[in-house]
Amino acid sequence: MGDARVKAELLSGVDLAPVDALKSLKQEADQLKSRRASWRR
Amino acid sequence: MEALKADFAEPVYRRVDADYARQLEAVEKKAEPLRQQAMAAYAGLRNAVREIEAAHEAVKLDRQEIELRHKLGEFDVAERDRRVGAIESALGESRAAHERAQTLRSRFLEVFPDEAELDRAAPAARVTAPPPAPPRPHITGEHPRVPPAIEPAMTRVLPVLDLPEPPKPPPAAARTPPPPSAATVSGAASTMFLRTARLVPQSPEAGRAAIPLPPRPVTLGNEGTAEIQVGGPGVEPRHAEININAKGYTLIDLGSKLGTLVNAEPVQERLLRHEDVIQIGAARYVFREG
Repeated sequence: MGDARVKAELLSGVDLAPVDALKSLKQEADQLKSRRASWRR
Repeated sequence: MEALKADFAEPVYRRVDADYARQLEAVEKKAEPLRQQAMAAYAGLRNAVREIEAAHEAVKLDRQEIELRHKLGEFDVAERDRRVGAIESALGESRAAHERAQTLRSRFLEVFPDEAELDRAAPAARVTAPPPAPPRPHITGEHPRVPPAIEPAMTRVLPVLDLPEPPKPPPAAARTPPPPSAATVSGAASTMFLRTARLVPQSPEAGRAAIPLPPRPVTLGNEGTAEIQVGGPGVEPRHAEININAKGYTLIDLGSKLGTLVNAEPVQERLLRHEDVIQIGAARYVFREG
């Protein structure tokens, strides 16, 4: 039953750094796309 | 924007538009390696979720076992409640872990269009099959004590237990290359290659860490000389042994009173196969190769 806790510890090893970096890039891309789209209407 | 257009020449708009296109391309280039890293991380998350779910299912079966034993008159309501309390605590832990996993999953889905893309791209080698359902409760004989939800690992691997060397690529001139993840057993007359294997604990009595099996016989029991120490009730000093030969790893019961189970069936001797569930007393392990 302590097993569940051991398994839960596996989650702490999941690396979210690339996800955070991707999120930042996505915001940058969305902003660029939005600006381009605004004068193409 | 239309008002802006009236104020600036078309070439200016084109220039800015081209600049934005270049910037978007640069962003895309930066994103690609990060996507690969994120996909690998997601594969780890997915595996963790599977293991958490399997642990949750195992605990649910433990709970049913307590109810059944109570109904059979093994113990009174107070004892039932005490045991169920420990189980509920474990269930709560696995539920919390699952919720945490879902939160992490949502973080990934913020930057990927859907889970299918993450699943497609996850490296296959890092994905393990979900563990099989745990064996049915062992109803006869002496019954395992249900321990508190969090109990220190009682199984330990003595220092004498050698860990198999990680597989090494064979030399180009090797006559017969070993299969991947192979352990080598050398003898005077021949050399055989076996897949590495380990026992993965499925219950607190079995400990916490996976136990790599060395390429030689090992004894399981609660005596100091047993190389793999098994905790909990119903375990004998030298309860069982795992031998190794050309066919693979064989589990042998050493004449124990309560027996040794593989996939919930009592066995005297059994060639172990990937994902077999071994039970000794209250300790459960999954045998995994590779």
